[in-house]
Amino acid sequence: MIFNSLDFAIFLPIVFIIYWFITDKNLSLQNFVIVLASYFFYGWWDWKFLSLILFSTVVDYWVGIGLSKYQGKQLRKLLLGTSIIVNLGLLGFFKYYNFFLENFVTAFSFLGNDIQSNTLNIILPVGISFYTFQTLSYSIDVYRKKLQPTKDFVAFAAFVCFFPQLVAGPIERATNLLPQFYKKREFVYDKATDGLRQILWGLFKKIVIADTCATYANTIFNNSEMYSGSTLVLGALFFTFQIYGDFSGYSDIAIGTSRLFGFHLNRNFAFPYFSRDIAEFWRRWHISLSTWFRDYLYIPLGGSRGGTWMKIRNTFIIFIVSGFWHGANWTFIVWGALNAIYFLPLLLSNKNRRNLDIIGNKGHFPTVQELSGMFFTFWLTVLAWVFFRAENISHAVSFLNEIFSPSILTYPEVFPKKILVLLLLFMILEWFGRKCEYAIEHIKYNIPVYGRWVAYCVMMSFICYYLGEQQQFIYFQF
Amino acid sequence: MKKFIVRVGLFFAMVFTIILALPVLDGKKESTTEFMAAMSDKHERIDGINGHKLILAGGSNLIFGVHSEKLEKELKIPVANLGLRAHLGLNFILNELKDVAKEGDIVLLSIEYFMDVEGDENLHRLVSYYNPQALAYFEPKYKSTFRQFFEYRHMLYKKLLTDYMTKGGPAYTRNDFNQYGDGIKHLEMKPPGVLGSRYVIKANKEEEIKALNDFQKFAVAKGISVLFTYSPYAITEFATNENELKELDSKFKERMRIKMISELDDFTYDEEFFFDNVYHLTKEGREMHTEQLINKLSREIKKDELNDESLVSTK
Repeated sequence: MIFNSLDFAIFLPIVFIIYWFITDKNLSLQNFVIVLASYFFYGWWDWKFLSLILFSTVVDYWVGIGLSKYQGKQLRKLLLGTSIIVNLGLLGFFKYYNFFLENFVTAFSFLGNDIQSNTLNIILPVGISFYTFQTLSYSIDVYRKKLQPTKDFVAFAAFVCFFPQLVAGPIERATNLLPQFYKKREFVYDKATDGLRQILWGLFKKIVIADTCATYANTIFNNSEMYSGSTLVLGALFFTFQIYGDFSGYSDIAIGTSRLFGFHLNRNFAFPYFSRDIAEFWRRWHISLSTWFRDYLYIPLGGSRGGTWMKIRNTFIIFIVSGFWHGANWTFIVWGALNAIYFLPLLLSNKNRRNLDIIGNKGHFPTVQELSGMFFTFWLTVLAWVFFRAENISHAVSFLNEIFSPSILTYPEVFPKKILVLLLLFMILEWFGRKCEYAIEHIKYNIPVYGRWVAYCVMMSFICYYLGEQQQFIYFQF
Repeated sequence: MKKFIVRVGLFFAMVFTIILALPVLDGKKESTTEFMAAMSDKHERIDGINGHKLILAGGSNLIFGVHSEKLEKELKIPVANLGLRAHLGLNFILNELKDVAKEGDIVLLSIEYFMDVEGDENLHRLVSYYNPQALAYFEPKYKSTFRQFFEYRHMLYKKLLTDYMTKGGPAYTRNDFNQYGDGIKHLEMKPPGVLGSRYVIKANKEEEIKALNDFQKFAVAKGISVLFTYSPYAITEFATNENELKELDSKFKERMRIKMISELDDFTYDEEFFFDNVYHLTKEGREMHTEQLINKLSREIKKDELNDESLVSTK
């Protein structure tokens, strides 16, 4: 079931009513309703893959219990190893099996040894990269004794499969989300309306911005050999907004939906395209994944504490693994490596933490220096997205070659002015909301109630107008 | 909680009222821009012709691929191009023909390979919204689900806003037809560069053949002559679907009782002659196709046997 569907529009109020009214605010019953609703939500896509979630849940639940029971170092390592092998094993098989096999065969063919290979017709279960990372965080935190293991199986199952963030994040830490399943939850009017407002904004970003940009990005990327450099720049620009609207829109809907049920999920995007350097961009883009890799990979590897070579090694590892997490394709690996190259000069010159505040913090507009940094960073990310979107490396290279050719000076063959104006208006809205958690949060303080209702109706009208064939969220495939 | 539910209920009631009621409030049901509203213009053209005429019927391949004025001059018979959308389905198109074709008329059916019998129900409802006469051309499904109801109202809402906001898209508005019912806007436009409608073709067309044979019976009884032709098609797509197409062709030849005036690959052209999908010709493609049609039709129209029962029995 996807958020921008009629199915979800019916599902959500039904679950909401059962959750708040029929359970009589009984905590165990509410958790049980969440588990059932989440399995229904996931099973709507393919019920057969529910077994994977259940398997991962049972394994990590028992690993947690085992870690609390046994204090022997070896045994604890063995238990943690079991969790890591099971979760990464599932991920590896479903997501990377064919990739490794094909590359293995190619490598051997290159050396003159032809070997037979049988790739498997494997369907990638939606959200597997998200829920395996979430359960892994639980096992690791319990192992590190940062978290008490739960003995409430239903609460743990609800934590693993919590439907608002099950298939595309944010990847919640057990330390943040799991304790919320133990506490009595009260309905708070302000939180619920805030949740609805964020859902509305998320839908707007997905349907009006991302899906509209997708039409043009797909046309241009799928037929890139026919277009001039100027059109390809526009194609990359449309994909830049598509992926932002799509993924941050999903996160907004997930966070807003959670609020309706009395939960607080961590922020996943913080206006990344207003970043003044790449380091800031990575503090603002897909925050839950970046911090996951930071805490469970980068820091255990030594982080930036070692010498120069260690810093370089760790930076490349974290960015390349992060790229590879997105998909079994060399394009994602190159995308990760490119971001590491962008990031390294800042890290090595100790300038990676110079922009920790919000841009234009003191007024409405940025300084010239901030603006130039923002402009430069934005276009670096646009170029990197070409690798993310391209079919393969040679496609990305030929795409970029055409961009950096004289044809960039010609009038674009595809130039949808109205959409570009729409994107400009969207960025203006985002700019004025950059100090909030999401762009339209501030209207609850600045606009009287009737004005807000008009604004909501206008947004809904836009959403309904642009709502076409349901488009999957891009991050479902990761 | 009560306050929340009341307010949320009120908000969504407002939004849905706007979406669902707007098309009802917009009572005129006339559109100068809506593509599907062109059906009325095409019917007006047919009604305005006294005497025998050549009616071109089928999907949008006819809008993009026929120069009716040239056809009319060469064949010396008034031409009306009834083509609109293949997704209306064969039953809808044949029922429309039963309504508008008169004794002595010649009907040329130019059917896209992917066209099915049923068609798209929402499209039926949309076309009948603008052209009430079309209500008689399909059987409304009274067991419509809530989803269909919602999707249909949503489609009307989008259409109305499009009318007011954008005045229709290029080459797909009511204004883009000439008096014969041919599309003309695309003739001066640069093709968008991507060809759509690349559907996988299935040879299983039993229902379609039955519908065509039933129509042929009706036509013979009413004194209407019917001819069948394949639509223009991109040669690349032809190659992709070749096996299924050949099977389909042999089924048509074996079982269909309407006279076929073209061979399977007569109207396949290079992709450069197509505008925005693999059935829609450009200006140059349209001229080639029209010339070929004139050639084939001139042989047929001269034959007196078109209205003859014997034609049916030979098939």
